[in-house]
Amino acid sequence: MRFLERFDVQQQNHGGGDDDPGADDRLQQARTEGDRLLAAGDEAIQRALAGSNSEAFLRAGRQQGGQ
Amino acid sequence: MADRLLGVETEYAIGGMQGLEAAEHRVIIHHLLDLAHTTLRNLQDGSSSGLFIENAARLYLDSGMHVEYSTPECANPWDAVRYVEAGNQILFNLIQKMTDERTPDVQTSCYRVNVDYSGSGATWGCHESYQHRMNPAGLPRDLIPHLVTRMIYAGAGGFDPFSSGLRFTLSPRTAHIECAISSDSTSDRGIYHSKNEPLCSGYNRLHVLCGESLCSQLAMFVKFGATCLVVAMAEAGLAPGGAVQLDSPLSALRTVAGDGTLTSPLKVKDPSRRMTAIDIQRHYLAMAEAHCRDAFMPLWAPEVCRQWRRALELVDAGPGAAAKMLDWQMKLALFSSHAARRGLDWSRLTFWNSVIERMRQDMGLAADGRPFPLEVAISPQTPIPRLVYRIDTLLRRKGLEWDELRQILALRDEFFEIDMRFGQLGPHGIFSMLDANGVLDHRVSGIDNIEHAMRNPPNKGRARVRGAVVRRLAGDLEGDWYCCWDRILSTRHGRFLDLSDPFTEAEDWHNIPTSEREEHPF
Repeated sequence: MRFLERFDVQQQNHGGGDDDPGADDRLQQARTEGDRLLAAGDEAIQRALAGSNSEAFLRAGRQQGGQ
Repeated sequence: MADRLLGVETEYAIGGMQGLEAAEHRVIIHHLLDLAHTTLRNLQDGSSSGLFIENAARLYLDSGMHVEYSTPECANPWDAVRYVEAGNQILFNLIQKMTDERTPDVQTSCYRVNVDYSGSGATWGCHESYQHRMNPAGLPRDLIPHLVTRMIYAGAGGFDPFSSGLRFTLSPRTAHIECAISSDSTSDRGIYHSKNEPLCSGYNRLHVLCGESLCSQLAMFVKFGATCLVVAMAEAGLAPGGAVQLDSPLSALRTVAGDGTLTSPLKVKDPSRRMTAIDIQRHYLAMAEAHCRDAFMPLWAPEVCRQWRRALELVDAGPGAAAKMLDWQMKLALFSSHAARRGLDWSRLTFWNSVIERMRQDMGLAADGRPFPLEVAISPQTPIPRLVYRIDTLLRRKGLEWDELRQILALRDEFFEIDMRFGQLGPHGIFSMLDANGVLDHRVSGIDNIEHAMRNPPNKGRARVRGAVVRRLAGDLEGDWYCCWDRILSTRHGRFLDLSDPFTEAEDWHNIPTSEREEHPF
């Protein structure tokens, strides 16, 4: 989960220093929210792709006439 | 405080599946427009298929056989987003109705997507229009650095449609921008369009071509609001772009689009300065904040500045910090997570893309987005034996295998489908599912009442008048009424409504001179 690792590092970098008593809580909250987003995203993608043939799908949406 | 008007045109991708096969596109479009004519209160727009509807927007078939919706003229960015979303809902409702009543065996969907990944080389535009009174000759200096760099919050995210690999970009539409300023919107596309077609009297119109269809309210709001403020500052003579002139706008556009870290320096004309896209946006924002209560600014300028600052702080915090707020960061998070699920290392895509790019060039293949013929390239009969040998050596040293690239190429269409389905209208779109799940934080306070905006015009300017008249005359089939942006007329009744003043608040009816009654109104 490289995205999440990056997300955590950024939250640490921008989330205040050692003397910020709320930093750990905010970091934990950000981590939890990141996990929720990715879990919901994975589920949404699975539902969206269920039974789909991607090549046929892209062909169906092909722009006609071209612009 | 000064009034400003803006509008947004969205071109929609529409696709139908009949079982596992693509349905006939023309049949779908025919049914859709026919239903629009019969179910929405409307007046014809003078083209064979277009109509103006009671919320004062225009719905029509554009070149390229795609359905396009133009919002009415809006007086603030809240309304601009509201009427974009009203258009989405109108289209979705029409497709539902079409499926229920006419094409039950076809599964039709409509998408907010910006490029065609099927290999057609086409793009769906999302153009913005900003009313202004400045000399158009001053627009490039003041607007282009803003338009080039605003994708850091207003990029749709997706993939480069002309890459033979799988190259993430902040703004897929960028691949179709071929020059800084164009006189056409369908070929040699520019960042904006120099054709000054004001569709009203007393004003000019800036027509932006590089924008993209978005799902995030925050991204749309800041895109429209910030651009309005830059236009207002340019009009006031502040020369907002003067200090951040780009050496090569097109090159800068591609650099920003390809840099998810937002750290690449852009070449500016002042050689003593090195600026990133964020620096340039901060330059514009600082000027807007300094002048946000000046008389030439709209009343809502302070709130736009506040949201603009918020967006810049989010993107400045690095990839991931705005994954709940901005389209391209949402997609980057979803794509990289999906890659991990599929066993791909997202961070190695850059390496593999460079491998494909090098082989493509050496094989003399066009950069047209077609899948790369890997098996031909690395077969014993390869046309590029020396390069393949060198890459083979490199892969062994890195502990990598060609199978990883095979897997990337095999999953390419799947990632493209995810991008299309992200912006699918209705509850089954990926963005819609995430939004319903409560995991996003993209909403802007005050953008609400979409249902109302589907049936009612904005409450300001000629859009309000147009909407009321469309509603009143829609049933008068004998009248043979036509509507366009600056007038409504009936040659049969010999009357026309003058809407050439975009801020008009009253109906201003006139008789059509007898000598002109037989002419086609458009």
